[in-house]
Parts: sequence; structure tokens; C-alpha cells
Amino acid sequence: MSSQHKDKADINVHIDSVVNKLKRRQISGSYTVAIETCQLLMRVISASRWNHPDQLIDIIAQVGKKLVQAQPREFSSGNIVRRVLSLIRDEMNDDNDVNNGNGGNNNNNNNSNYINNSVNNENQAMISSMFALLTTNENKKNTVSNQQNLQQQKSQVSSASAQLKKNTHTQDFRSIIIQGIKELIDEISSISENIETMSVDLIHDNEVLLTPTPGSKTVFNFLAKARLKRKFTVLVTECFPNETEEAHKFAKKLAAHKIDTVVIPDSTVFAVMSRVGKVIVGARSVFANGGCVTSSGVAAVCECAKEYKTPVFVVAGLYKLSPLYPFDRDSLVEVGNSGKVMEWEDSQLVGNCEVTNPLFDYVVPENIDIYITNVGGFSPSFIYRIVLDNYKAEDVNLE
Amino acid sequence: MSVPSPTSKDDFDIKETYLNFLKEDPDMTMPVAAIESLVTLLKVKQPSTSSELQVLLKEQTELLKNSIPNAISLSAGCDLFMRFVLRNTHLYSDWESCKTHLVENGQLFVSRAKKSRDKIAEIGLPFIRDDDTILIHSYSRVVLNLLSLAASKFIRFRVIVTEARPTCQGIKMFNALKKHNIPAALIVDSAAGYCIDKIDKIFVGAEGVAESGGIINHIGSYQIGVLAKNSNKPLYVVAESHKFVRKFPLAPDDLNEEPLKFSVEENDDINNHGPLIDFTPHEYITALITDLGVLTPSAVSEELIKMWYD
Amino acid sequence: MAPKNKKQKEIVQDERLQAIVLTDSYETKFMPLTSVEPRCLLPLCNVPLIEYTLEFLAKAGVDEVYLMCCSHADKVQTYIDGSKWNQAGSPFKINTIMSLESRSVGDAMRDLDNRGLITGDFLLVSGDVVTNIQFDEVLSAHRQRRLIDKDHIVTMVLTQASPLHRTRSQSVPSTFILDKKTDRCLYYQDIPSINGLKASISVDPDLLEDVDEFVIRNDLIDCHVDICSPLVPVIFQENFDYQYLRRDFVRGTLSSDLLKKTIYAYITNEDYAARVESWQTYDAISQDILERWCYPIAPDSNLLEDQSYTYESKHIYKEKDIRLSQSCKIGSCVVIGSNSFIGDASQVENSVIGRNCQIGTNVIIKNSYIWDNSIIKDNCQIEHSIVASNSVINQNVKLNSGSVIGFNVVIGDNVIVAENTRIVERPVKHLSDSSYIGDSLSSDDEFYQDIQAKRAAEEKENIVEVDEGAVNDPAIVGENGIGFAYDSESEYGDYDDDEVSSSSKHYHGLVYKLDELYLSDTSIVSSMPNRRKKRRTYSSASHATATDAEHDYNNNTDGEEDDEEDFNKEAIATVERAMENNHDLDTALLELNTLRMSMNVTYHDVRLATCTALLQRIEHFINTQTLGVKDSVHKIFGKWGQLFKRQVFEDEEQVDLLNILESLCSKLPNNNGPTIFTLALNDLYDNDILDEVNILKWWNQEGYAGKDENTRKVASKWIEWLAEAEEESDGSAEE
Repeated sequence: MSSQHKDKADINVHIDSVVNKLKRRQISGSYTVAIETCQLLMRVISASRWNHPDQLIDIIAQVGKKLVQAQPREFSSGNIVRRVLSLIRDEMNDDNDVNNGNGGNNNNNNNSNYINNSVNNENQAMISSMFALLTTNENKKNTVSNQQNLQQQKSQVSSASAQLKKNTHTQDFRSIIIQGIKELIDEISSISENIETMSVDLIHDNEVLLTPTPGSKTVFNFLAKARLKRKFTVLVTECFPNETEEAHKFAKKLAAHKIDTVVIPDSTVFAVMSRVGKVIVGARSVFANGGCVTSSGVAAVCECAKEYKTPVFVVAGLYKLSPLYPFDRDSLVEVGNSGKVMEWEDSQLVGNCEVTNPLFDYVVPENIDIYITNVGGFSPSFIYRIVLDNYKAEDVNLE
Repeated sequence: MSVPSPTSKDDFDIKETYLNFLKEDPDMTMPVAAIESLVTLLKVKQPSTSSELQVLLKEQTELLKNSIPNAISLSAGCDLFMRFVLRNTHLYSDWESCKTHLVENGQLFVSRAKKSRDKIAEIGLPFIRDDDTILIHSYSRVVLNLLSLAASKFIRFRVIVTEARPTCQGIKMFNALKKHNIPAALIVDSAAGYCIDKIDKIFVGAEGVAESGGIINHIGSYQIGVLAKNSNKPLYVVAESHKFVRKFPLAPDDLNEEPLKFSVEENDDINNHGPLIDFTPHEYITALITDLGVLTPSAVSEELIKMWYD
Repeated sequence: MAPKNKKQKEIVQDERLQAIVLTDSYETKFMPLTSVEPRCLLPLCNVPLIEYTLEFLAKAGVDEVYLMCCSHADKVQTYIDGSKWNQAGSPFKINTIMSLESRSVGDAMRDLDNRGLITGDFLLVSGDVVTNIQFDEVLSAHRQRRLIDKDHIVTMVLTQASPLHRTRSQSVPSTFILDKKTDRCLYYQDIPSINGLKASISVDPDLLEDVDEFVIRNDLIDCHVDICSPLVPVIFQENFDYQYLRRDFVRGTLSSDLLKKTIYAYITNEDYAARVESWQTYDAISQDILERWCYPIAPDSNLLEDQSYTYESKHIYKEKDIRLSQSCKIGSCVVIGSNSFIGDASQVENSVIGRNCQIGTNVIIKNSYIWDNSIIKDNCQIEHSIVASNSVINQNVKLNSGSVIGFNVVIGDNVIVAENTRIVERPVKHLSDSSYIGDSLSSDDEFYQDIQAKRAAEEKENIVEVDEGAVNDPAIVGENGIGFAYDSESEYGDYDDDEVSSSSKHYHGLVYKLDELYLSDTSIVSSMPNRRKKRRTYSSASHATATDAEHDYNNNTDGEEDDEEDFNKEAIATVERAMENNHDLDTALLELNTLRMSMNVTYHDVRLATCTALLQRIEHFINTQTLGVKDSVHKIFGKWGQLFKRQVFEDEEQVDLLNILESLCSKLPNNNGPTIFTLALNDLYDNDILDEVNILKWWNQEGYAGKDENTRKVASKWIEWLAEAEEESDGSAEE
């Protein structure tokens, strides 16, 4: 027992230290945050004690909540947590199906029953389907139709027996989930490769491309891969003030890959847009409505692109896809150090004028033509579908 | 149940029952009223076989749809009900228990429908930010519910309400908002363009949500949608998911509204002119706030498909 | 502790970085609020000041933190014990060190050295630093320089800012002379920016030898973030008169021929670093944080665990559960804590509002800081002011610029609070001991402790004293108000010329008065180069004590200093320090003795100095009417007269002492001299420092004793009594 406590204390210490690092921005950038989150979750799953997967879900949701609050504008931690939760839920369903021996055709129903069973929360059940209005729920057992009653009993019996089994198989379950997270890590780290493969099809010879996100590794790999078969020119915006250095590095790296590279000031984007064939944008996070958050300045570039009907490609790994809806710009856009815009030492300006330095930009779905992810290219209006495939509706809100 | 339900089989009039439901409970929406009417129908008629049940439902639904002029919303309820019955009878060949369940839980649906409004209010709450000016059109229980929740959370916002002629439902909304201590301004429908630059976002309810994600709503919604699009203001539809309807209107004509009357008569009733509902295509809609979450217009068909082809 | 930490520690044993945090500033700039709360727990943007420092240390990768606590040490300790830094997930080990006796940075450093905690290079910061500096760069710069220059002992982190920058301390604008190439610090001096008064620095040309090019910089913010070698506390130990890190230590080290140690500056103009050391910088840094100059340190980084600030455009930060009425206007740069309410038609801009504040209707709040749980009623106007926790401002009150409303104060209806008024709940008694000659000498905590001590003393002696403010001051706080004016002037005593105090007001006010300062600062800038050339040199190696500085600013700047008077000044300062800090006698004696030997003077000089110091203090008591003549003499000579025990040995010396005392007393103003002299005589006699025989010998001495008629007249009674008493005792002995 005491060792259990110790384990728990240890893991809490670890969680706290990760949370604090996130708060201090010692862990930052979607990729790093995603990987860190995966690793933390693996530790949590292996260290914490639970008898039923529901408890595990609770534990992980709690951890997720903390992580999200630590850096509310970094969505990848929340995404990863939700992915893992969905993994657990799938695993639970599989277990159930196997136990029920019913096969997949009542999967959906079964699922909702299960939720009723476990969470006993009508609201949550309601969210799952339009039928919620009419279906029965746990509280009305007496009036439940025979068939459903039967099913209910079945599932209860089976879940009871599953309970038994699970106690012995918790370890199995644990390792399955951990395996799942490992796969997730693999997926995250091999995203570039998957996206790269599409690049040759998307980029034509002698095309002029423009990228306003020189900080994105994915964009770089995308271009570098395309260069193997295509010859093209890349315009790189300078991204003053936050990514200017990175823009220069990026241009150097591209040049080293024998890509014609032109660094342009942010102000000339509109002027050159008429000659640009495609705009390639790296996203920080992609939302359910098809909008995305990326480096500041991109929204303006996309607006220009729209004016000239230049296609805008957004490259993003699946882990950047968030099931959330971007409610308002303020809650998405991190505002950074004003000192980057203007010298703080200048006493004539400091205090006499207001400076804002947003680090991110929100790009509306209408201004994006296609998302290129590691699972394929999608139109922004289809993103909700990918969200449904990867996340469970119950997990959208981690509360 | 307070609705006087006719006891004899022959007396039953689906239309009357439906209208009664609506009259009795002002909070009840049309689809729910339709469902309740159908439940009452089952209660009264007591069909003895599965096919009898189906025939009965089909027949009465048609009857109901045809007898009510603005049938989009109620047909959503009918369809949902039909589909539920069919699904249960087909899948599990156990229509009787299904029937008992439905009959016995009549009131449950109403309360659930109300609950789903609360759920929507909760989901939609983050849309209302400090110091917002919101334009709403006509009266909508869901929108009112959302706004009153926001007001109770001490969010600062103000509302511009259109009068919504010819029904003047907007005035009802205006008064309801004031009752909830929400600062509101009432404007005539034609002032929407005048106000559009002053507002931050638009909320509208919906009588029905078409498969494309477009909405069928009180007349005037379409033009507000166009205005919003033109000035880049987000237009949010607030609607319960039981209002999703399997229709794919392409133009206002597809709504079976009475065609416009052209007349040269002098003493024509000036108040009773023109259609009462219109269709706002999906491209004018930023998002739908539903009890299933915040959906993009394209996600509506997903939900409908899930229901019909699962 | 987590096993992981242990492991880390094992691996990086050598690299373990220690940090010393001075939670006390040993200053009174935040009075009267610091009489209630320790300075490092005062909220800045609704977060206790110390959190910013600790956050910086956490980011800097520090492994061990020692907090040197002095004033309100218990409160600091309680706070730290309950904070996240004390929990298992904390990035460093935190220890609080109760250094209650220390009265200056120097004392704290000596205490530190005594404790032997320092194992390697350490980070010395004051508990009021706000910075987002990339510390690893500083550290590596320090280590690299260390490789090149073995004598390198301190790296100071300085931020570049124009001389008139709001965040730059106006009270201690420091000037650094740096080697242009290497940033080696050659010389340091504070320049008091006095209104319209020219100030200058004077540098010993020797210091500038072997230097190709140097720069005099008046545009640096000194945030007191130093990387020090373990030698630093040792140097403090060796030079026990060092009080200040900069004024004494840096200057002393640089101008010492013996030490040959070097100090470098690390100048950054990208990062933000500043120190909350006065109300002016409090205001400026608050605004800087709100305007995100210090990102990622901003209110929405929620340094405290239970905070929930979110950012909105125009630099508005809101915690959850706040209530804004429909018609209130929230301008830019505003922080509002949870459960606060702002009424209709109220305007708030550039301000910080704490938690649970109630702000009525039609209130205007500009550039002000409203701390937790305050209530501001309708139609108030608050500009450039601070309203501390739990205070109530009633209707139609106007707080003019620079007002500081203390904890729990109530301001009545319709009151107009004048500029730069500070109001406290309970009167803070100004001890009129000489410690308050200069603000620089006194420390925040001293006030507190002295008050405590005095209260205790009062109770003991059962003296009922009517305070100047035992009744609430209706002129200041209104009819139904609670509070007293805290006289900011008295902080500086009725000391010296008005110039100092009037200019000090500017330093300490919340309002940053650019125009006036502008004049003075330019004059500094412009006068600097030519003065440097013209002026003869004066290096104040080891005797730059505070009193000295206060006393002689004008002399100093004129560069004319009589070396022979050095000892006198030094010694007087030492005794004064001893008195005000309540040192034990031995320490004071030791210091005096060391001084005597180092300066090679006679005991006569020591006695002269001691007497001067004691009398000065008595006079101060009397002038400020803290104590009567009798009490003050008794208090001072009763205790400190003991000093003479080891200054007076021979009979002749006793006579000499009497002569000194008498001549000094006769020079005292107000005709108190003779009385004081007689009383002192009595005390010295009681303490067995003076023998009857010697007193009588002095009395009958030719020429000397009869010099001052008055003294003789008053003293004669006592002498008579003495003679009688002797006879009696003789008689009783015989019996």
C-alpha cells in the first residue's frame, strides 16, 4: 500500500514538473509538447492504479486538463490526451464486443449503453446521437423495451464478467494502451515522411511557391522532398519580428538544397502574389471547423492569396488536429513579447504607445484550399470528419 | 399529460392534437409536438401488428404534414420518430416493447428536448464574449436560452433584435430579453443592413436544418445571412439536433411556400403578404450550435446519414 | 524529494547552482505598507513580488535557493512553506534563512558567510527582481570570462534603457564606468538625481590606467542579479563596514589596490530585467508586465496555482468569475482579479484590480493599483495611486496622484486626498533615532522592529504616551474614516537641507514626473564628461557609509574631502549604526577599535567621535520630540555610555572625556547642553566609567571646566551632591 502511495506521489511530482515546464515555456512547440505529453501519459498509465478503464479515463482526463491549462494556446497536448482517451474507449468497446459476442452491428447502441452504464450521465449520452431524444436511459429501466432490457442485462452480465476478467487482464489492457501510445509517438515522429510523399504530386516544375511559415519543419521537408524531382522557386516571407531569424535560416537551408530561394519582406506579399502558384503554410493547430492557427502574418497572406485565387495549402500532422471549435481569436492567439516589436529601452515610446505582438494568427477555413496531412489531403469542410474519426465526442470537453 | 387526448379511435385528429400540444406548452417546439402527437396516436389507436403500426404512422404523418402549412419543422420530428420506430422494429424485430416504451415515456421527450436546449446553451456559451453586440432575428427559444445563460454568468453583451415581420415574433423576443435583464434594441427588419457594421456576431434559431447545413427559418434570415457574409460577420445557427431534416432545398422555392400573389386589387390585406419562412443556404452559415456540439454545416449530413443508414 | 531530482543531483554535483535571495531591501521606500507586510509579499499585478524572483530562478535552472529573511521573516517563511516551491514538484530546494539581525545587504552577506552554505559560484538576487532574462547565456558568459580572468568575482546583469526610462530607478540612478571592450566594470557610483541640481561622478585616474577606452553609462537598469564567486561573502566579512552591494562592495572592490579583483557587467538589451525598488518602479514594472514587455511573464501566465487569468486584446487580463456591469468601460492594460465587481459607467484603465474588489458606479480608476478585497464606492476618482488590501474608499473621494492608502484604511465620504499622501491604519511611530537621518540607512524591517520594541518598552515602563495620531485624522480621512497620515517627510527626518527631502519625494512618489526629472538628468549627463576631467580625484575606498554619503553629498560631489576627518566620520557612523541597529557593545567596540588601528588615531579621537555620535542621537530624539531630554540622555548614555569602558583607562583619560563631553555639550543648540551634560555625567558615574575622584579633579581643574558658565552652573548642583554622597558613603563604610 505504501509503495502504491509512493508511486502515486512520484507520478504527481512528475506531472507537476511537466506542467510547470509547460507554464514556463521550457517545453514549447507543438511537436515537443505532443511527444512530451505522450511520454507523460505512458508514465501515468503505467504508474497509476485503476480497476476499471473508466477510472483510467478519469485519471487521464484530469492530467489532460492540467496540461491544457498550463499552456492554453498549445493545443497539441489536449489533442494527444484526447487521442489516448479515444484509444482507451475503443479498446473498451472491443473488449465488450468480444465479451458480448454480438459482433459489430450493434456497436453503436452498445457503445451508448456502455456510456450510460459507466458514466450514468444523460447529457453525455445525448451528445452521441440524434436518437438521444427518443432512446431510453438507465434511470427508466422499468420501461425499457424488452429487447433493450435483454440487451441491457446481457451487457450487464457481460460487463460484470468482464469486470472479473479485467481485473486479471488489467495488465494486458495497460500494455495495449501503452503500445497504442508508442504507435502514436511513431506516428508523430514520422509525419514528415508521410506528408513528403505527396509533395511531388502537388508541386509542378518551374512553379513559384510562397511560404509565410519558415519556422515549420514540415514545410521544409515538404519542399526539400519535392526538390528531388521538381525544380521550383520558393519565396519566403521575413516574418518580422518573431521569426525573422528563422526565416533567414530557413532560406539558407533551402538554398543548400538547391532550391531557388527569395526572402521577401512581409509587406510585399500582395505585390508578388500575382506570380505565386501556391502558398504553403505550416499549421500550429487545426480546428474542427477547418480553420487553423499558425504564425502571425499568415492570415494576411491567405487573404492576399484569396484575392488572386492562389491556392493555399496547409501542411499539418494529424496530431495538430483539434476537436475544439475556435470560439474567438483572443483565446487562440498568444500575444508575445512587445520588446520584439520595439526597443524597450526607448523611454519616449514605452508607456506612450501601445504595442501588441501576436505570435499566432487564425486563418478562417474559407481562405484555405486544402489540408495536407499524414493521412491524406482534405478540404477544410471535411476536417470535422477526420475529427470524428480520431476523437470521441465525450472527450472534447476534458472537464 | 394535460392535453385532452381523445379517447375513441375514430375521434383522433392528428392535426388538432398537434396544435393542442403547441398551444398548451409554449416551450414545446414543433418537432417535439409532432412526436408527442404521434405517441398519442399510438396510445389511442393501439396498432396490433408491426405493419399496422407502420401503415398507421405513415398515413398519419402524411396527414399531419399536409394539414399544417409550414411543415418543415414538424416533419423533422415525424421523420425522426418514424425512423426510430422502423429501426427498432427492423433491427431487433421487437416493435411491441418499443411501442410500450414510446407510449409510456411521452412526457420524457418533452423534458429531454428542454434539456437539450440547456445543453446547447452550455455549448454555445463561449461564443458570447465580453462586450459583444449580437444581432438576432425573430424569436427562438434556444437563442433566448443561450443568451439568458450568458447573462446569468455576468457576461457583458447587448442584443439587437429584428422585429421579424409579419409575425412580429421579434417583439416577443425583445420583451423576453428585457425580462432577463439583457440590454436589447428593437429594429425593423429593413434596418439590419444599417446595424450590420455595429455588431460582432449573429445568432439565429432554425425551424429546420437541411441536410446541406442550410437552415429553414423565419422569413428574413436569408437576407441577414447575405449581409453577414458580405461584411464578414459570423452567423451562428442555434438549433436542437431533432430539427435536422432530410431535405435538400436548393432555393427558397423548394420550401412549398405559397407562391407570391401579384395583385392589382386595392383592398388587399397588407399584413398578410408573402412567405413566412425562407431558406438560408449553408455558405452563409459559420457554424451550428447544437446539442451534438458545434457543427460545421457539412457535418449535418453526417449526423443525418448516421441516423438513416446506420 | 523525487528520485529523479536525486539522480540529477548526483550527476551534476559540481554544477549545482545556488541562489541567494535577499527578501529584504533594507530600505523604507515602501513604507508605510511594509510596516504590515514584508516587501517581497506585496502584490505586483496580483502576484506576490517574490514569485517573480522565484520564477526566474526556476527558469534559470537553479538547484538550491536560500531566502535571506529579515523583516517579517515569519510571514515570508509561512508563505514559502505554503507555496508550490516547497512541494515535491518544485524545481529547486528552497530554504529560508532567518537572518533577523542583519540590517543591510552587507550584514546578510556576512551572515551567509558565517553559515558556510556557499559551495561555488552563486546567484545573488534581491527578492524583487522581475525578469525574463536568458540566464544560461549570462552564466556561460560568466564562466567564459572566468576562464580568461581569474580574478573575476562578480558578473552584474544590467539592462539597457534610456536614462529617463520609467522603469529605471530614479532614486538610485547608478552610473557605471565600463571598459568598452570587455565590459569590465571600472567604477560605480550612484548619482542622486536631484531636481535641477548638478551631480557628477569623480573617478580616480588610477582606476583608469591600462584601459584603452571606457564608457560612462548612465543608461543601465541595475536589477541586482549578480553571479558571485564564493569570495564575495568573504570580502564582505573582511570589510564589515560594507553595507551596500553596489555603493560599498562594488566601489570598494574596484578601488581597492590590495584585492585586485574584477567585476564585469553583462549588458542585455533584448531581455527584460528590472527591480521593484520604489513606488515609481512598482508602477513602471506593473505597466511593463501588462504591456507584455516581460513576456512570458505576464498575468496570464498565472504564476500562482489558483489563478485563472486570460488575455484579451488591448492587454486586458481577466480572471474568471468577475462581474462587469453593462456600461462600464475597461480601457487598455487592465488586470481584474476574480470575484471583483465593477459598477455602471465606471472607467478603468492602466490599472490593476485585485480579487474580491467592489467598485461602485461612476468611478474613474487610472494608473492605479487596487489590491485585494478593497471597496471603492460611487463617484470616486483614483489616479496614480495605490489602494492596499481591505481598504474602503467611500463615495465621492478623490485620490490625487501619488496617494498610498494603507491596509484596512477607510476614507470617508467626499474626501480629497492630496498628492503624495500616504495613509496608514495605525500610526507608524517614527523613532527619532538617527537611523532616520537618511532613508538609506534605515530598513523596512527596522521600523517594524523598533516599533515593536518601543511598544514593549512603553508597556514595561507603563508610560502612557499620547500619540500624535491617537485620534483618527479627519482632515485626512474624513469624518467616518479610519487612518492617519503617514508623514513621508519624517522618513528623512528634519534632517539637512530641504533639497534632499524635496527631491526624495520625487523618488518615492508613485508618479513618474518626467519633466522635472528630465532637467536634472540631462544636467547630469551633460555635466559628466567635463567634470570628470576637471575634478580632482577622490576614491572612497572603504568609508562610503551611508551617513557619510548623506552628510556629505555636496562635499562629495565637490570632490573636496578632508582625509583627516575620515576617521571622525567613520567612527561616528559606526556608533550610530550600532545604536540604531541595536548591535551589542562588543561588536561596536570591535569595529571602533579596528577603525582606530587602521587609521592610526589616538583614543582621544575615538572618544571624541563616540561622544559626538551619542550626542547627535540624543539631540535627534529631543528634536523629534520622541523622548524628553532626561529620557533620551538616560537611554543613550545608560546603554552606550558603556562604550567608554574600553576607551577610558587612565585617570587623565577620564578627565579628557569630561572635557570633550563638556565642550561638545556647550556647543549644542537650544540651551539643552548643560542639562544633557549633567545627566550624562550622572549616567557615566552610575556606570562606573567615571570615578568621583576624577570628576572632582576635573571640576577643580584650572581653566578648563570653568569655561562655560551655564554648564558650570547646572553641573555644580550635581557636583555638590556627588561630594556629599561621597562623604556619606565614606561615613557608612566606616560604620
